[in-house]
Amino acid sequence: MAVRQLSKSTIAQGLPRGSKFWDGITTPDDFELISTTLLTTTQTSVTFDVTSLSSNYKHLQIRTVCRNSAGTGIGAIYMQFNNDSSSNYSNHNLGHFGSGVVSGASTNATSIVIDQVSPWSNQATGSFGIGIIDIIDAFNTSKFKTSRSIGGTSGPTNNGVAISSGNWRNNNAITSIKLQPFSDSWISGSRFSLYGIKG
Amino acid sequence: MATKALEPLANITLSSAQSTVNFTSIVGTYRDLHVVIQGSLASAGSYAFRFNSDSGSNYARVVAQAQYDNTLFGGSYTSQTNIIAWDPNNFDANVQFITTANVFDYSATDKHKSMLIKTSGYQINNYLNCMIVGRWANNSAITSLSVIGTQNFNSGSTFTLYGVAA
Repeated sequence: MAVRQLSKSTIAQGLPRGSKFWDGITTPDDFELISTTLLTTTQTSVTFDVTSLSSNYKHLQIRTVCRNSAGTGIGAIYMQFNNDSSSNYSNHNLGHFGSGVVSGASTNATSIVIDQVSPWSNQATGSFGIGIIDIIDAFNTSKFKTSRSIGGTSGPTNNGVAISSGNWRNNNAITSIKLQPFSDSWISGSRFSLYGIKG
Repeated sequence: MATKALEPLANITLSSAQSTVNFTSIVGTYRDLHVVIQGSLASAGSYAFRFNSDSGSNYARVVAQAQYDNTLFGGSYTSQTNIIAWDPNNFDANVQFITTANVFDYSATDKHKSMLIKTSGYQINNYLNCMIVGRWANNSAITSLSVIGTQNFNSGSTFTLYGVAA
């Protein structure tokens, strides 16, 4: 799709021109959509095969819009890499969910937890949770894998917003990413989009 | 096949102070919208988002904020007339802020529209970080997005709208 210049951008002013900075006009090409899974029926998990992406991308981003098929309250998305369901993950989060601003942590977890982004079925019809998950250096074989996420749900029955970080204690390049709710399924209309970021 | 994911749709830089910026006739060919706002207000105040000119009490939000004095604030609100960009305090006049906001599935007609907002601002003894999730309780596709200040945005403030590929 051609980009129409509606007005001359001044964003580039004050920023040094160079290949690493957006000139305000050109469509950035370092952030690419890889695939989108849009559910047309309930589904208990979504898995992305990212084996072929390591040669072109350095980081990954997943955008989520989802809602559980049952339950009460707000749940999380649970993320596992390379089919590893052992206690090789750590998590931290900070946000508002219920009362005040609180934080939490877990070590030796069996998945990375993206908090507050998967509302259960008692929320208003049409209310979905939203989230953005960034996986840094996803294919680097010299370090553990780290994710950063932000998201939440405006219920209205239950509400929550949180930033979360996760760590997978494994130096292997990521080849698959599995997303699942705590229990039950995600409903039709839930969406999970995978993006690659060049570096 | 990979697709370029981020397309600039419009970029507005104010040449004079004004209180409202409108993005209209938004095409429905993307998955999400991404908004970047960088600027300041002429007087102490705040600003908020509104969709399709709906000024009814059809919005809700949930907030977590950290303030300069180590105060943490969290809250949730329903039956609002817009989705505020930060909460609960006003920015002082001429304090520079930046907001990045994402509207998910903005063109879908099977769900309400949810928005993820991050706002940061800094002035000596007046800095804060804020994250908000808002919801417009309407299944209609979003065709316009308004940024509404309680005070005028200063000249030079920039507002950029991107489409994020489906």
